[in-house]
Amino acid sequence: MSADDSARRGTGPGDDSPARAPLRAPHQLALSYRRSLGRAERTFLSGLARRQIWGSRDVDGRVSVPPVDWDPETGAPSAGFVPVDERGRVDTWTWVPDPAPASPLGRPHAVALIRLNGANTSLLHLVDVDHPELMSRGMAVKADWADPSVGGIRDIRAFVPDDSGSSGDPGEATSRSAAGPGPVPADGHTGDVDHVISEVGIGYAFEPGWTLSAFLHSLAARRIVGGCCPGCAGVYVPPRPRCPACGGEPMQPRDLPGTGTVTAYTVVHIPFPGLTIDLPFTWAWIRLDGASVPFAHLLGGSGADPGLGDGAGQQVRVGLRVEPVWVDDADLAPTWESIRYFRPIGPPGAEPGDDGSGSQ
Amino acid sequence: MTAVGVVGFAAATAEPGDGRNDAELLAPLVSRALGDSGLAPDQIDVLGTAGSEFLGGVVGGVMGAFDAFPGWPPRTHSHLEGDGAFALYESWVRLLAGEGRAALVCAFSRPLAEDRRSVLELQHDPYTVAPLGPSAAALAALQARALIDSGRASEDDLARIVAARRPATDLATLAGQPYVASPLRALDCSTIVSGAAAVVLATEEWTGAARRPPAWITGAAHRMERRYLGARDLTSSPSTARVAGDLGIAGSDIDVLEIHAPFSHQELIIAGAVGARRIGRINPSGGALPADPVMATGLIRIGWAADAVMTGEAVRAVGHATNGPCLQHNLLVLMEAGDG
Repeated sequence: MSADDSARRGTGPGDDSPARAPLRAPHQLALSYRRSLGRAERTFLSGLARRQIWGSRDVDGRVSVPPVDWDPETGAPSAGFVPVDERGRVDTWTWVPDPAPASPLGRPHAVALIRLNGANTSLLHLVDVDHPELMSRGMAVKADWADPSVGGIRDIRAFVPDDSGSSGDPGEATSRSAAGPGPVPADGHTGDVDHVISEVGIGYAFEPGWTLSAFLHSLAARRIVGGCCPGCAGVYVPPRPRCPACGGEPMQPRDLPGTGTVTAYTVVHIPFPGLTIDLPFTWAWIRLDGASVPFAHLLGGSGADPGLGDGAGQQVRVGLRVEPVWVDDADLAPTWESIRYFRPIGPPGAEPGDDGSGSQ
Repeated sequence: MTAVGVVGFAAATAEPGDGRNDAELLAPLVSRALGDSGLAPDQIDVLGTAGSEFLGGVVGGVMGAFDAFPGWPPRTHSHLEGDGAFALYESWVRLLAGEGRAALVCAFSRPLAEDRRSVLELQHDPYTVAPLGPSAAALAALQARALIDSGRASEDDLARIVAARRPATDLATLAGQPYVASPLRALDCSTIVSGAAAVVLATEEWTGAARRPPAWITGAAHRMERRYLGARDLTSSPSTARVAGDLGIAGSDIDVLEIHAPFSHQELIIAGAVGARRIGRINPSGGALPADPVMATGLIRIGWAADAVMTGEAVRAVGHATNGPCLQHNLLVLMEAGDG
């Protein structure tokens, strides 16, 4: 297989475009969730806060660690929760020579599935040893507890080699209670850990694509270059790689004058994450003269720089004729923000249909 | 029940950073697959798309890919966060249910994260696994070692898979390379790239215009295993074995088996779980190892298996797709030549 080049044809502005290079920008995705817990997770994580490891027992007496509320194969409810030993044996393992920056141990370590004494399934965790040569299938390990424990899987800092000789007695299920107020009843309901916070953060180098890159480059040259379908003559701003209505291609670059008409709007009064301009501001759908579809942009400025009288949408109405207000030359860049906002033009009180753009 | 066949397929991969967006990757492939099928865009009743917004990192980013296919007339469109193979399964079911006579299935992938494989870590259990920070490769390595410890494969077997799937790789060079997560070396882990695929399905009354004879879908099914890795037998794939049994693949002869194995050892596990009496060729397309456009890779495997039937190279071909850590979720699609 090879990259197919045909998408390049017909995209982007004409030969007089200022630049064709595809754009790329750093982008950080961050998601923070507060996840509530079901009974099994609550029992397990509350147990860890007490330095105990709890599993669930199914109707046949098999013990799952971590515990489950229902048997994944039969759907039968678990028969109850039971403590298991903090010691066990390595089932399978791998060595991580180059851990990610967020890795809890911050140095090379093993990741392993560990069969704790008294359990019939294996728990995934880290093993903290200095060299992979120290790891082997069946090796005896024990939990090394973090201080303080807070009710999370990282309350076990890692597993470490266990030289006590007491690991590896299948069926032994003594709960070690080195700290904390005592054992959790078998119904598990006294667990006081009711959520975990999960944080996701990923860095990207985002690319908008050839078609949109060409459009953004046109903005940096004070031009608005849409795309015209050779089949149905639809004109799109921003341009699309092929006609979204009829599939026609190649799309032809089409310079548009910048004047247009408001087709819908809203006035925003409340803040939201990521807001970078002052409140209130008017956000409008604007269909440029010669275009088939509208796009969204600021109408008037915002806050203390409203550009529309009071900035609260007083003069705004559907059908309002508008034109772009560009940034200074020195601030032009391949971004929508090269247009600061759109402002009204023409005689006050002009009615929809007076714009001479026809109805498309 | 009506018969449904694959009548068009096109796929392409590219290095991330070549600048195209999802629609630009996909549009020429949609044209080629539709051209194969002989169907016009307005004959497509069902549109099935798949990808993941976490690959590109921009919420709503995948919407742009829908520009690769005309949005008129209105049609049934189902978008899946997952591999396109599962969108193909859904579209097949929709056609069997009488919702339409032809379907276009698309998958697209631009892994733009700085660490391309890190997106897969979002699949990990957020309560007991993700806080420990294991990479997807580390979890796969637990499976690889369990397989080796079971005596059913050796590191040499893994190296032979790598050498077969990655041209210009020799065994001696491989053995000298460091582990990224023992027993896996970098070349045991798929090379994640951008890519896209388009597949056209048609019911028997609409296959007449196809350029090549259809690859009839004579069976498709998927099954998922437990969430906890430590509760699964990682050295086999019970979900695949069950599907292969249900579809009559186990114990039968197949000419081509396309396996979606992002890690070398997983090809051995799936080939074993499929349990065919005879397999003519495994991964003649090259498989997932040298080029893995995450979320399109499985659909591409099924597409190549179909292609083998459409070209006449195979009479009976099976495409496999997987999702989730360590082959948690597996799909098989059986395709055959014939009269439908």
